[in-house]
Amino acid sequence: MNPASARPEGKTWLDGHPDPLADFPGLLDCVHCGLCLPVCPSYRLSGKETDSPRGRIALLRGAAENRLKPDDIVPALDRCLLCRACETVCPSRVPYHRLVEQQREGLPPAWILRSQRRWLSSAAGIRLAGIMLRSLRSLGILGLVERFAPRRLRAMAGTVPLAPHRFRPQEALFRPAHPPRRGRVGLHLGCVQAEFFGQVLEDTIAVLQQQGFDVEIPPQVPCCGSLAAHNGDAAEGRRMADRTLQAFDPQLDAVLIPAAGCLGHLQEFDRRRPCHDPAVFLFERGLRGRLRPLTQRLAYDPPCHLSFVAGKSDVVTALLHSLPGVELRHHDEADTCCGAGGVAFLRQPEQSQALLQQKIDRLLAVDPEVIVSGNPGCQMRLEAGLRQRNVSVPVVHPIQLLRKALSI
Amino acid sequence: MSRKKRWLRRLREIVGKEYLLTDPASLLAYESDALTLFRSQPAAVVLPASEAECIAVVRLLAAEKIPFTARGAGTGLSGGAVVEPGGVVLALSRMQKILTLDPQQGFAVVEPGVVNDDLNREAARWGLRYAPDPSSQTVCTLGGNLGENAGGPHCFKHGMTSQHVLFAKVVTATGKVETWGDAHSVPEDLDLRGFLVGSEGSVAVALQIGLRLIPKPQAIVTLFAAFDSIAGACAAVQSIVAQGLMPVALEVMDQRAIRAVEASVYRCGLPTDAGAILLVDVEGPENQIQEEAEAVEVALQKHRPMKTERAQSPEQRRALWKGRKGAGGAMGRLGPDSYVMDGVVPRSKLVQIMAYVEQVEQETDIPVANLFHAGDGNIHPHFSYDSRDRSQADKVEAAGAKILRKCLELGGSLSGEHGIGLEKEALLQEQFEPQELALMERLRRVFNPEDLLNRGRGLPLGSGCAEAFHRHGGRP
Repeated sequence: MNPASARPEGKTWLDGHPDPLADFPGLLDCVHCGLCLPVCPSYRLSGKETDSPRGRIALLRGAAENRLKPDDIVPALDRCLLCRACETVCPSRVPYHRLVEQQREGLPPAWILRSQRRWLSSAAGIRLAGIMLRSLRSLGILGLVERFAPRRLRAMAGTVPLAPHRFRPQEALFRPAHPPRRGRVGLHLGCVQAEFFGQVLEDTIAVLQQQGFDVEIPPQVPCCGSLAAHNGDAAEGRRMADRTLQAFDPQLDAVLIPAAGCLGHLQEFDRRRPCHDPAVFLFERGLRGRLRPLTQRLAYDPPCHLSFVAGKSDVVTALLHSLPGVELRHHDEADTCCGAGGVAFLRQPEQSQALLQQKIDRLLAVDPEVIVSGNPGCQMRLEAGLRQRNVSVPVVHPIQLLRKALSI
Repeated sequence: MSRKKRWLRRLREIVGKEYLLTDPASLLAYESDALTLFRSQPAAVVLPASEAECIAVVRLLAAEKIPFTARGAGTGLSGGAVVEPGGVVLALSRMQKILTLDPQQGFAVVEPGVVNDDLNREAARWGLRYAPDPSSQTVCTLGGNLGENAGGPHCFKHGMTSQHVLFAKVVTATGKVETWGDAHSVPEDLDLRGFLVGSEGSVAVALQIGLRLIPKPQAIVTLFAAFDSIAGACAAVQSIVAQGLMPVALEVMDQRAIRAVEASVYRCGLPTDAGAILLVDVEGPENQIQEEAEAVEVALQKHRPMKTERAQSPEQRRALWKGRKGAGGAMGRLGPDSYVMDGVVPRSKLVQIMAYVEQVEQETDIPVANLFHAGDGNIHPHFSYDSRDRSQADKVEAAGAKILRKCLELGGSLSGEHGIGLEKEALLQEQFEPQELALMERLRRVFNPEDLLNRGRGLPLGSGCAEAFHRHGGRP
């Protein structure tokens, strides 16, 4: 049993902290300047102070000072997508996400959120959800769920990919580099990635081999714990991250992680381990071989955690620009969260849906032939949004374009 | 049904239940603007989405005689967007449409909740810009800029908000809708724009604002000089201005401010060993600005800077300005709370006032960082203090008042750009004669007869309205 679910109901993040302002120093670092407001997706959507990072910090401080009850601030804090855009503009470097995660830690959760903690934020849980949703679809009753189920289940059902491609080898996997060999890397599959977007992983392996890297996938790598951390179980999040990184040989040149959400979490857990997005890794090392022209109009919608945690979406933009024949079109508010936010789309389905609609509008306005993302959560939501409009524009990972350009 | 329940229900009918906020968390979030020294929780927050909703809300509040205060993004620094207890905050952040952008005639018409920088981004597509650039321009709204007559670093040459407002369609505190000014000509009747701009939301609520757009500069040179003391930087400003040179911006940052910026995400390579730096922008036609930049550099050399440097690329230029504009927020690293004060002296008195600020800092023993619009003589000492310690908060407030009195003594004024708000209300009587204040009050009462709209702001009404507001951490 994990520590969060062992906590008695009704306890809050403030328990055990007689002087919370001293224990959570980030609360006092905010000077209320408001520079975080324009980059916050939830504030942009509603215009409400309580939907901004500055407002949420004020609420956390209000609760810490006993001016609000811990329950008063739950709805406002729940609407945070933890995209982390605000942290990149905060002049005072408030460790905002940690404050939110701390607050979520003590929440007496609603059943769906409790179940998220127990199994949705674990590899087994996601696999189970995948199997369940797939069997619902094959029985032809997913449509019914979409129409009549409670809003959260409906959000989940509407988001799951139509044609999931599973890639989860049962045993350790080794794929040798094509000569000349340049190095040896590990590949972290990622639960959602492996369950629904296995093609990305297969493409990653093929490109890495061709570029001269041995690829190792250790057996039974657990979930990295990012969803657990976002949902208020930081201790479990750290434990899972530790177990995940332990599974990889420390002598590897790098651990490559195509899912930006997992990447950000693992990077923050241990800054010394070289963890990278595979496309970024290859581009920074230098691509080898001739690239054939793709002649496609692309729109790149960078995953928030690649931009704001790993800080590498610029590299992907440069990579896309360097692909011959490609026309990279810039859509408005590319840096604003699409509303997926890990499992935030289950937490706040209405907000998430509104953000998704805006995102799809802005993407379609530049008329792309292919949309580039780089995180399975975002990819799933973008595909769902396009499906709602009956538009068939493929959403791909940058490594997949690379595979195409390298004609592998 | 109680009277309050009734008007709340009617507000809800106007804006929808999502946008009438009465829960404890929302009320706390709207208890202050960016000056957290003054706090007061409203009875409700209402967020209209359109002009029609806004007018309906104002009319209802006027009929029910509920005090109310308009608010943009809450980045004001004088407590101008705080309503008295029991009042309603009219948050305009959802009214964010750019209604017209006329590149030929060089003007835009915007709703009050449009963010300053968003207008700039649109204008840039046509080679235009909106000149006033407060440090919070990525966030602050044009409605708020209008209310406070906002300035910014580049207002040294281009002028404050008041010089860029062509007209405003407003709803007065009694619910009357009027348009003051004209997009195409100078008004022939009474020109009320000057009265409206900077009235701190106490005359009317803007529904539409017509703003002048000017061409983007052909070329810009940004340079900075490092000095071993703040006095050196101020003396350099005085002689640049005395020579009649017209850079667009002349900004000073002292060592504490430089170090805070360099420790933040806005670090831009400023020398952390300097006592102060002076940041200068020169803009204009390519062939002229080189000459002017050189003249500025010659003037700087007379004050023996530790070094001078020109920005080598547009990226470096942008980084320097981002650093300057993020500096206020970076004060959070220096202490739990920050109090920025705002005062003006004649530019020839800059050295004197900064020496006085240092003296006050030593007396109060509360650290001060300085970053300010030196070209305008507009000082902004930032006090870093802890609001949980009542004596520190009192000291900070007293220190602010002392510095402002000194500004007046040196022939300056109480506010460069942040406004009077709650912060300086008591001091107004020291800047103005009683007849002058009475005239302002009479004028204001024409449009705000019941004093419902932003009561106690910008004018000292009765004795100490600010006393009604909780100070320092919201605990009375």
